[in-house]
Order: sequence, then structure tokens, then C-alpha cells
Amino acid sequence: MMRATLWKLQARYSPYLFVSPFVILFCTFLIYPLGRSFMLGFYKTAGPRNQLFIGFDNYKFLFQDVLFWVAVGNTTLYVIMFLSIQIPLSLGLAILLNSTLVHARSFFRFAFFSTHLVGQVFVAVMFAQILSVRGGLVNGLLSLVVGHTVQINWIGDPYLARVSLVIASLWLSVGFAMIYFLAALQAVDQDLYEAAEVDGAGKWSRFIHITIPGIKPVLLFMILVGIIGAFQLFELPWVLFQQSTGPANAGLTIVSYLYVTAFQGGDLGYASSIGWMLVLIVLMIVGTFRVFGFGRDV
Amino acid sequence: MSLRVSVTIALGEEADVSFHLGKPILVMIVLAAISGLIIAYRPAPKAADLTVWVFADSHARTYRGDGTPGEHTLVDRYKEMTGQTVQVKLVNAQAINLRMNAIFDRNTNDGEVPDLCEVEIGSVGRYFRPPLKDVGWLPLNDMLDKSGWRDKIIASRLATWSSRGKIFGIPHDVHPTSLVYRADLFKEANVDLESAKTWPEFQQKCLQFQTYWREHGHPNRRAIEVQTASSDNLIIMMMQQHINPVDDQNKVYINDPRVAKTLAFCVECAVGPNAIGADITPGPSMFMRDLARGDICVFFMPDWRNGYIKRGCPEVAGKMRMMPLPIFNPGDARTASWGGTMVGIPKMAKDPQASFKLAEFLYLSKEAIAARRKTDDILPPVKAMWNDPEYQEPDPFYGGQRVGALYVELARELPPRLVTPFTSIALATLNRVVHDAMELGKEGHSGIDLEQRCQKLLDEAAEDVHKRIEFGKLEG
Amino acid sequence: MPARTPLQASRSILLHIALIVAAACSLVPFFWLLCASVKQGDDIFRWMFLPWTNLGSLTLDNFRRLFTQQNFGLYIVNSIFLSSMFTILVVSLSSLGGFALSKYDFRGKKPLMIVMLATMLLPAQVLLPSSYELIYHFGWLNSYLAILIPGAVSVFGMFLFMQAMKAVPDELLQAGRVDGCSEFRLWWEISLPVVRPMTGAYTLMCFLASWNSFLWPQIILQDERKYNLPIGLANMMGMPEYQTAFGTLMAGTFLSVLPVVVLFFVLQKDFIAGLTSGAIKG
Repeated sequence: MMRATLWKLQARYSPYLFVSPFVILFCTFLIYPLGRSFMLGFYKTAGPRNQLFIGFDNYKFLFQDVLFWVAVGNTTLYVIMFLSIQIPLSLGLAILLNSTLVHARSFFRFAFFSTHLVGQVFVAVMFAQILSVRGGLVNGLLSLVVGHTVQINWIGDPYLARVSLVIASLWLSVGFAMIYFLAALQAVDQDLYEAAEVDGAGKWSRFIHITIPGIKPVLLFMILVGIIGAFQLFELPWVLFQQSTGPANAGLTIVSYLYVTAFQGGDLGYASSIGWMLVLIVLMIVGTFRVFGFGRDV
Repeated sequence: MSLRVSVTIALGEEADVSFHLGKPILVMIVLAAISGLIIAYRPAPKAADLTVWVFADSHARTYRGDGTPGEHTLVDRYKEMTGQTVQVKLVNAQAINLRMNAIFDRNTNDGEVPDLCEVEIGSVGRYFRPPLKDVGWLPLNDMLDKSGWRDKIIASRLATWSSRGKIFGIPHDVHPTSLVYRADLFKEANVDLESAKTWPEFQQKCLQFQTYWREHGHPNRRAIEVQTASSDNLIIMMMQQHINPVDDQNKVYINDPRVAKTLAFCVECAVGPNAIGADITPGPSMFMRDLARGDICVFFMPDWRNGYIKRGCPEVAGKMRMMPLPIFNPGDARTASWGGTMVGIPKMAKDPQASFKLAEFLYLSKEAIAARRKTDDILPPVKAMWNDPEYQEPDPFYGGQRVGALYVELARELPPRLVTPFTSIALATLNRVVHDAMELGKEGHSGIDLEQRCQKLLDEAAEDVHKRIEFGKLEG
Repeated sequence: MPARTPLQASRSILLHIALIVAAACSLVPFFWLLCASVKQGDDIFRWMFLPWTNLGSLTLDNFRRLFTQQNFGLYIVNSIFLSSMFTILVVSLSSLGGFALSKYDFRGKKPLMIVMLATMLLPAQVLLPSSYELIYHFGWLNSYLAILIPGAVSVFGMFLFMQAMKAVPDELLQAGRVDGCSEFRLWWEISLPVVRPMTGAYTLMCFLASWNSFLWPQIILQDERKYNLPIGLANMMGMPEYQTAFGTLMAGTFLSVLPVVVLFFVLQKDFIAGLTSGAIKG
């Protein structure tokens, strides 16, 4: 009798038990900090011990804060440069790799994808050396091509610094995006191509009318992920520019501004308001995508 | 049909391993167990009695030597004197700031708190933001009074590390800045650089120098280092004219008309037909290659940098000379300070008295200053020590010139430098202004036009800094 | 393979040239890294890859220096511990939670899932300041607890397992109950084997994420004996002495990257399948 009751109890309460670790941690380390960070946005602070209520002043200041807008500008510029190269490049590679003529497909797949395994910090440390003025790989190769010593200041020049950042993140992520495109291409119905060929459609027209619609969900997904990821960019530029915001703030991103404000300046309140602006931006982007009828399951 | 059989049928042979989270997790458990054991049982490092955090390689070298056997370092000497062992840890400058902020937030000593910690001038301001009682550094006023150092250390350098009347650090240096140049190359070009007493004269001399070398097979030889994305040089020139970016009342001076003039001058030195310089190759030791190859031939030389070129650039020994900075107007100083370091004691240090004793020894004792001379030529902040005969000796690196004496002479006319919690904001803003001004130069603006545009940039920047100061104030 | 015409053959060659160039862009930096880490002193500047004329000058000194003059050995052990511990926690707790979401109806399930879904898109960085404050109040600053516990269950992982466990036939669970299995054993012995390929891929993903994590550990860990590899390496790079001792830094980067690349090489098929499955179906 006792046993049977126990048995019933475990059957009834097990699901609660199973989700309880999640619920406890979720509430403590996500829901509570979320609410708290909303509150913090209305305080001026110096570390956790000194806090002063100031109402909307943080947000008011944020709107006229040159540095914040520099960060937003940098990030936007980065998104545009990055995506306009990454998407065509990785889609192109995927199409090449999808060809029936390819030998050693799994080798190439490994080669392209392996860069994605390297964390942003390690990529930054590597590329700081690869792009170094003296002894760097890129300047070395350029010197070979041009025939005399090239000393381009990739990291130190404010404009080239932005280019360097894009180069490093392309290396990191082209292969990653390619894997998705490859999988999507393989899922496109081959009969459609054959039918189109019978109708006399050219290569380009087949690409536009069959391939693109066929991979559209993945394409949009990659663009969305790319944009959201870019707006959260921090580790790559931070380490690439030796834990600073780069020459003439060229490497200042929204998150690095948040980081510097909170953990070097000690103003957790202002940093929180920067964080909420980031949330707003991301939500706006996702909203835009939804308007275009995509993203129900993202 | 038993359950296991049915699962096996449903999945093929996959279900044979009875650890159902799969082999990878099994591997993780083994890894976690092994590494956890290693972490739990690895020997704690031999704890020294006192720990010092430093961010500069050369400082670490001064205190603990560079590892050559048989060396008698300051740390060894301190142990003989007091019986206390000292560990000098070289820590990344960014990491020091992050770690000290968190330590001050934590406000307890769990064994990770250094007994002494060096702080760089660009990052000290942030520590002064909280109310006085919550500043993490120990106020040293009493200790400095009792030990008598208060009167011996130059007041202007103590002011740098003070906030609201409390002194939070012992200054390491005064850092007078001079110019050094490749005398061999200037001589060959027949240009007497030292006869230039003002910056415009200096620019003319440099143009002559570059013209000569362009005609003699070195079209890319530039006269002087300029910065196109950083404000260090501009600040030096401002300080020469006794303009601090922000004063101790938090008043902003970066849009003074003289600053606009100076900025325009900097731009014309860097771009356009009268350019006399180029950016150095980035990386702390790379500029030495520029100097050795003669790509850039004149350098701003605060005393801390002097040690670097002597160690890193032996090729130019004997070919170098040093001169005071040219000036803009009569009454300007022929030098200004660049950089600076303090050592502070965290409030939660285990024995502040012992910390202070060690700081006295590493910063202010005769032996420490002698050890400093071996690694670099940083002048101590104690005026009485400047009379030491060592500073009168000729320096072979500079062809026998008495460089030490020149630094002392310059240090005596050093304009005071003020640091507030907001100085670093002003400096960061100026970095941006310098970059924007350089863009104006590249677009072809020059002369009065450039100066007016620079003034406009500076006015905007001053307005921005002012707003930030008002916003950043925590009290009142 | 279909029969080859000359046209096809030349297209195939062009195709492979393009692929090889692209693969070189990916792989050459790795090779360069390896080369740089075995060169000594000025050879780094003199030779782009290896000093071909004097291969005898290659050296393992850089690696030796990493372990003798740096805390690199500590960083590696710390990284292994943090990553594996983190992975164990996330995978086991997420699969347990996902199982509950997938196979049971319980009070509060719906609202919980709505809140979870709403937080999926939230940029985690907005939580940094308040989490720091929370960890400060817990007294966990400078402690591994602050790294392992808050991340121990992931919303993403919960959804992943919830989706995957839908493939577990309900009849099988029912049969298990009849056989006298507790609910916990239904998770462990019946459901987990079904989703094992996905578990493998997710395990790797978690390990990778933790191995490469920098921002949060950098905020939490102040004692350098507790650093993980990314923090250790990033700080090494900022030190003036490494501006000149390139080789040591390179050796460190090489050793940090090597384990994950090898791990992936061994398990690449599962990994890629698990990675793309979610996106393609959607």
C-alpha cells in the first residue's frame, strides 16, 4: 500500500523534479538579473556598493553620447561589410562543393569548417600576428606578389583596422555558413532543375528561380544570425586591438562600450542602459524580419 | 518481451553501451575528474610574505632582476634587511584594472589581494569616482607625514595621485620628456637641429633634412614621429604651454585657442606639403626598428622610453643626441611629462605598514634608484636625489652627452600635471579629435582655415567632455 | 561517376583549383601558426614559413618556455576542467528538462515555455552588469561556481532535447511503466538512447563554447592561477615582452586551438549533422 502511494507520487511529481534545476537556475540567473538590470538602468553606480537613483538620466545621456553612437555606427558598418562578403562567399563555396564533380568532398568540408572551431579570442590572437606589420603573413605574401617589402599597418590604422576585423571574422565564419548552405542545397528538389533544363532555362535563371527560393529560409536565417551576432560582437575586436577599443575607437562596439563602462568605469547602471539599447536594436531587427514573413521558429 | 530487448530492436545495436548520455560525456566525466583532482591537489605556489603587482616589464626587471645567475636584486636585498620574501608579479595592465576593481568591490582579503600594486596614470582616475570612504586604495597622508617623505617628494607629482585631499599613491617618477635624434643623419644632411628653439623653426629644419635625403636616395626618410590617432604628442605640447586638459576643479581647457593652434600645427606636421613625420610602427618595441633603419629619425623621449631604446636598439649607440623640446611662445616650458606610475596599497592588504615599508624601499631608497639606473633612466620624484653625481656622467649612447644632467635640468622646469577621475575621458576624446583633425588635413585644409576647423572640433569635444563630467559625478 | 567529356574534365579542374585556393585560405593560417611556434628569435621575421635552408634551427623552446615561464600548464588544466564540467552539467540537466517538456503535461508548462521562448533572442550581454552584482552578493567573485552554475542549463539545449525526444515512441514509455520503470529510468534507459546522436553533437557544441569563452570568465576570475586559456592568452598578448617573443605566444595559440580541431576531426560527421538539423528542418 505504502509502496504503491510512493510509486504514484513519483509518477506524478517527476516532471516537476526534472524541470526544477532548470527553473531554479533560469529564475535566479536569467529572470532576476533581467529585472534587476532594468532597475539598474535608472541608477548611477560606482561598483555594487554605491548606487544613486537618477530616473531616466542614463537613457537621456545615452541618446547624446557620441561614443555610444560611434559604437552603433562601427557595428552597423561592420554588419554591412561583413554580410555583403560572407553570404555570397559561403554560398558560392557551397555551390562549388555541391557539384557532382568534386573529389574529396569531406576533406574540403573539414578544411572550410575547421576555422569555426577556433574561438574568437584565439582568432584574434592569431590574426594580430598574421596582420602584423613586420613578420605578418599577409604583408609577407603581399611582399612576394609586389616584389618589395610591404609594410601595411593593418591593425594600427583606423580604417584598415575595420578591414582587419572583417577579414578575421570572415575567416572565422565563412566555412560555418557554408555548411548550412550546403545542407540547404542538398535539400533542394533535383527534379525541379531537370524540369527547368528541359524548359531551356539557363544557369543563371535556374539559380534565381530554383536555388534561391529553395534555400530562402536558410539564407534569411543566416542573415538574421549574422546581424544579431554582429551586434553582440566583442571578443574578436577587444583582443585583436590588445584589450582596447582600437585606433581612434575603430574597434569600439556596443558590447565593448558596455564592458568598459561596467567593469573598468564601474558604472553598472549606465552599462545596463546600454544593454537595454542593445536589446531594443536586436528586437527591432527580428521584428523587421517577421514583417517580411520569416522567423517564426528562430 | 523485456524492455531492453525492445529498445535494442528499436535502435539497432546502438543501445549496447549502458551509459546513455553517450561516450563523449563519459570522456568528459573522466576529464573533469582528472583535471579536478589536479586542480585540488596541485601545490600552492610558495607564498611570499609580500606580493607586488606591476604592469611594466622594465619595473619588474628593476625589482627582481632579469634572471641572470648570481644577480643581487632589490628583492634579495629586502629579504636580507627585513627577512621578508617579496614576489613581484608582472600583470597585464588591463587585467590589473579589472582585478583591482573587482577586489575593491569584494572588499575582503581572500589571499588574492596584492600588498602593493602599481597603477598607470591613464587608469588611476576611475578609482577616485566613488565617495572617499569607498575608494579602495589606502590614504597614505599619515604614513607620508610620519616618514617625512611628504616634504621630500615633489608636490606636483603627489597631486597627480590625490583626490579630495587624500594621497592614494607614492609617485614612481616625474617623466620629463625631451627629443632625441639621429645626429649622424642630421650631420650628413648638414642640418643643425638644436639651433631650432621654436616648433615652427624645428619644422623648417626637418623639411631641409627630408629634402636632403629625398635627393640622396632615401625618399621615405621622415624626420619625426607623429601620431595620427593618439593625443600623447598634443598633450605634451599643451602641457608645455601650461594647459592641463582638465584641472582639479574639473574645468575643461581643451578648446583653448592655443590648443587649436597646436593641433593645426600637429596636423601640418603629419600631412600635406609640410609634413615632417610619420606614425611609428605599432607595438611597444617596433619603433626601435624605425629608428635603427633611419625611417624616422627624431623621437619624443620621456625618461622611461630611454631605457627601451638603449636596450632594444644598440645599433644606434653613439649616433644619438638629445635636446629639449622646442617651444611655441616665450614662457613655455621646454619639457612636459608623459606617462607616470604610482604604487598604492589596497585597503584590505594584510599589513599596510609592511606594504608601506616595501614601497619606500622599492621607490625611494638609494639602492632602488641605483637599480633603476641599470634598467632605465627614470628620474625619481625626490628632488634631493637629482644631485647625485651619477646624473652628471657622460652617456656613451649619446656620444658622451650628459643626458642625465639634461633630464634633471628639464625636470626642474616641468609644468605640473593634474589628474582627475575625468582626465582619462578628456584624453580619450582628444584621441578622437586628433584623428578627425588629421582627416581635415588629408582633405587639404591648411593654415587659418585648418585652425578654425580644429577650433570647432575642439569646441565640440570640450562640450562633450563637460557633459560627461557632469554626468559622471556621483556626489552632489 | 558519369563518363567524362573533355569539357567536363576541364570544368572539374577549374572547380578543384577554386576549392583548393579557398581551402588554402582556411588552412594556411594554421600551418603558419605551427611554423611560427617552432622558429626561434629573428627567424620569425626572416622567414615566412620555415627557415628552409637551415631546418636545424627549428626549436621546441617556445613550448618549453610556455610551461616553465608561464602558467600555461595551469591554464590548460583549468580550461579542461571548466569545459568538461560545464558540458556534463548542461547536457545532463538540459536533456532531463527537455525530456519533461517533451513527454509530460504538467501545471505551468505552457507559461514556462512562453517565457523561455521570449528570452531566446535576448542578447545575453544585457545581463552582465546585474549578474556581476548578483555574483558579488553571492560571494562568488573569483570562484568557478560563478562560471559553472549560472550556465548549467541552457534554454537552447532544453528546446533541442525537447524536439529530439518527440521521436521517442509513447508506447515504449508506457511499456516501460508497465514493466515497473521509474520515470527517471524512462529518461535514462529509454529516451536517452534514442537521441544519442544529437547528444553527441550537443556535447561537442557545449565543450567548444566553454573552451572558447572569455567575456564572463574574464569578469569573474581575478586570480591568474584560475584563468582559462582565452584569458591567459589574451593577457599574454598584451604584455610588452611578447611583442618580441612572438614564438611563445604562437606556441600558446597553437596548443589552445589543437585540441578542438582534433576533437572535431574525429567526430565531424555527427557534429555537422547535429549542428544543421535544427535550421534545415525549420
